[in-house]
Amino acid sequence: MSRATSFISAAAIVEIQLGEIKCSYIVQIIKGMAGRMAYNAAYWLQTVKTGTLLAQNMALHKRTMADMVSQRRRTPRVWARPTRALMDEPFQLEVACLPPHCPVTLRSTLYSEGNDLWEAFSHYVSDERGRVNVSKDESLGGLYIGREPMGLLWSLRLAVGGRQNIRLRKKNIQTPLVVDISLFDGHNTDNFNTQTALAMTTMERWYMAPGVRRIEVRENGVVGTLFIPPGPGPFPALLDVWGLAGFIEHRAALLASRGYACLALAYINHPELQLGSGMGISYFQESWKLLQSVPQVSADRLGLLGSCFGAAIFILMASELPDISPRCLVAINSPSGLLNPGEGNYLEKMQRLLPEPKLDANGHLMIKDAILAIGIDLERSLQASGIQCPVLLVVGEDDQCVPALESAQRLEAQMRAVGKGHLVTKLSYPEAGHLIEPPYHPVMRSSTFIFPNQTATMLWGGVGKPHAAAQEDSWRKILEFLDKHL
Amino acid sequence: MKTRISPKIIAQPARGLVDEQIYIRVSNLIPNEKITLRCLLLSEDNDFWHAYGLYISDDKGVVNVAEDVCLGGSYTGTEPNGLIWSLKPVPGSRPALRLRKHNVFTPFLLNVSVHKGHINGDFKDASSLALTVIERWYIAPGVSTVEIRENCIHGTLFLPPGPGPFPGILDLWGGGGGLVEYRAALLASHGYASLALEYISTQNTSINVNNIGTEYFEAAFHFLKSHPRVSSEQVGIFGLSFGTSVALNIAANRNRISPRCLVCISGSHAIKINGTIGDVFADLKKDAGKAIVDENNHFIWKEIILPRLADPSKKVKVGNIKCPVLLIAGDDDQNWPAVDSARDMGHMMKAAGNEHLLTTLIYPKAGHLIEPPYSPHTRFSNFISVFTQQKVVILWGGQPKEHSFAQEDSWEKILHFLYHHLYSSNIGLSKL
Repeated sequence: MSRATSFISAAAIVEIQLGEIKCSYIVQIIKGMAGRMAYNAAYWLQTVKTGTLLAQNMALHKRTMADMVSQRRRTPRVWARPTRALMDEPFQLEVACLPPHCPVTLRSTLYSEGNDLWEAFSHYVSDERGRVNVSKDESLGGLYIGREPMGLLWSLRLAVGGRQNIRLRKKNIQTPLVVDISLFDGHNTDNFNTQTALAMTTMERWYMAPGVRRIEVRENGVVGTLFIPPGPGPFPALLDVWGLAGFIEHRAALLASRGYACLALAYINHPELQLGSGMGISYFQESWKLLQSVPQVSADRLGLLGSCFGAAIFILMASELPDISPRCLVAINSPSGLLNPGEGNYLEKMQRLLPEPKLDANGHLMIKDAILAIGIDLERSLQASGIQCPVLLVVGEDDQCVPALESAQRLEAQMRAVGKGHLVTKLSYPEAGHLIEPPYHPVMRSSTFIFPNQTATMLWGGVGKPHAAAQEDSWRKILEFLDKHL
Repeated sequence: MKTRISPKIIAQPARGLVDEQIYIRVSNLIPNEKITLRCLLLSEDNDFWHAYGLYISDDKGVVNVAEDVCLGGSYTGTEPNGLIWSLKPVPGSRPALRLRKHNVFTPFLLNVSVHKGHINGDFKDASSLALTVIERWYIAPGVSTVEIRENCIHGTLFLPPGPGPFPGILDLWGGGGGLVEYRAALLASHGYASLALEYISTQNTSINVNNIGTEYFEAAFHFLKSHPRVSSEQVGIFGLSFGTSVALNIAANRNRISPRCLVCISGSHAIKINGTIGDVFADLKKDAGKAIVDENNHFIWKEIILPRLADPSKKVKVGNIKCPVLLIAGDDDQNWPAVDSARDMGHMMKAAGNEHLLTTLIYPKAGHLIEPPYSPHTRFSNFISVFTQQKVVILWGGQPKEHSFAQEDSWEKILHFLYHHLYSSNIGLSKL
């Protein structure tokens, strides 16, 4: 409102001072503004006292203002169902009251916590009844094509003109991500800000279901966040870790929303971690014991779920520590087949192991080859054969960060060698990259990563649609796997 | 040691609008196990409301509320939404309560729990096997509000997201007064720019019934019609109780306003507004003696208005109405003679030749307060009488199951009616 207001008020003051009313000039400016700004400017003009002279001479009444805002005969309707959903729930999107066979663009926008604008768009044509149904119709262009009910979420990318190469991360997972979906006339690809949307709807996407409790854990040196489903329990439980990027809560919140008490565990890059004590085995053993001791947790129904290096640590724990007996283990893009986190101080070990950054043709960091190079030493590689429980390996074959496929294959081979091959299930997704997140999360091929000494652009890998499909399929299978074994 | 898997209860949608159906499913029970499902809510007035149903799980240990039969409790039979519409204050609560949401920006939080065995209403010592929480919202994300305090019009305007322009609805409640926002918020969530209008206020002295006549409502209608985000040719009026009478009054005065359609619930055309609302109340007060007090000390007011149906001078000339009207009444309405009025209105419109505009829905055993689904049915509640300014208990009428059906069915028909007349009709924006 303020930009439009100050512009108009400045203009109005100038005009009145000049004693001349340049009506058409102001009208032109309003016409050039996009929907909301124009509406605000127009509404402001009607209500402001000092502008009455201006308004009178313009002979503009409220109706004409609205005409500038919307050029259509009948307002189309856009609606999403459900309007408030969990992040892993699909939604349906429909448009009605369009003319028949009308080309339109659907655009989704989202403001991240860092105030970056994310957007996606796709092109549709209404049917003979003037309707579009995103779940059924085919997109003819935009950021995805074909029948993609959830395309407006997973193809979200940072808007041109803003910061780039940043992952979408929500720190406060107790509030929803708010996604606006706007409808535009014609098939557009850019300059949405200068056009007026025909209609709009808003959706909330939540990580936490109502009633899920979030408890910050700072006990016995363990740092993390515990999510407990509503009710007395006892609930099956999970330890959830990610890679070297730091502490991430959203998957644990989603798992709690699906009925699992979940402890998102911090083990690196967290201000409250007491690194002096070393991030060794004892830290993870302590967190396991802590989770078991939670009253709402069913102590003999614990599982481990990890991504990247976190998964490697879990595999080590499950394989070599007798007091850690998970009922099942899920490892997503773990480098564990080739990398042994070793005993003792994991953090130091990992920092030593982190290779010199090597850049690809685009200047993106490629860690994978470096890890492959390290891991060829067979004695250094992790022996997973001590694992006693079912293991689900999720692999993005286009993972450019860690050699996920090779690791998974080695791990499977190790298990088979000791007759435990039947415990291993491998889900391997061609063209999926490293960042296999819960479903409908925007797909990012590369993003900025902050190392201790420098910042670089990390290449994660993964291609739009196949990666999104992998996220959707793997999550469903992960939940089925957990349901079966926990 | 293998612990038993605890029962799991899932309710969908976890965060839904109040008019969305609920699907509740309990699993991981013992086969053919007796359980009680209970729904608990803490109202904004700090009262606990609850409802419960007795079920038996099937051979797989599953209870599916949408399909299974409830064997007793607050409701019986196959009632997917029974746990919500049969909510009543817990035993020991203050009497004669009504569940209403004052703050539409927060949801109702409902705890739905599973208990072992068939419990007969006393849950003090009953610990639950499982629990889930659901949110019920009156407002969809993206709906914005504008507080309206101009030209003496007091109300709240709810706008759907987007540039619009949207069809508009003037939302009028009854003699209870105040600014009731939740239905307007819900209508905005369905795509209508809705103005919740306050016209009776005990606290706000600028809204004085002795100053308010039909001009006030016409001004509100004009305000809505000329709002930049409202499609001026597509504005309707939605009234309940006294609000219905207001709607009929201003719609029949054809020189002033032209609504596209009317939704009239539980009201009567036998209230003619000649001067101010205060005059109307004074006039009604003369007949206050016709009120009946039943054996519970509850007031039945329909007899006050009923005799007026015989007097043409006291009735709105509904023959002058030029727009479609959806008339809804419950035949157990003890507060207004809604059904008799509906029939009489039908006769008048037939005589005048505009009967084709009228659609009447009469619901057997439904009471006066036909609210959006799945509001709990209130058969009687506290009320500040507009005649005496004293607190009385009004008998609204209705039986829970039939009344809840009336709410559910009428709302669906109302939404269709509004969509048909305000969205999909071809009389569009004539200015373009």
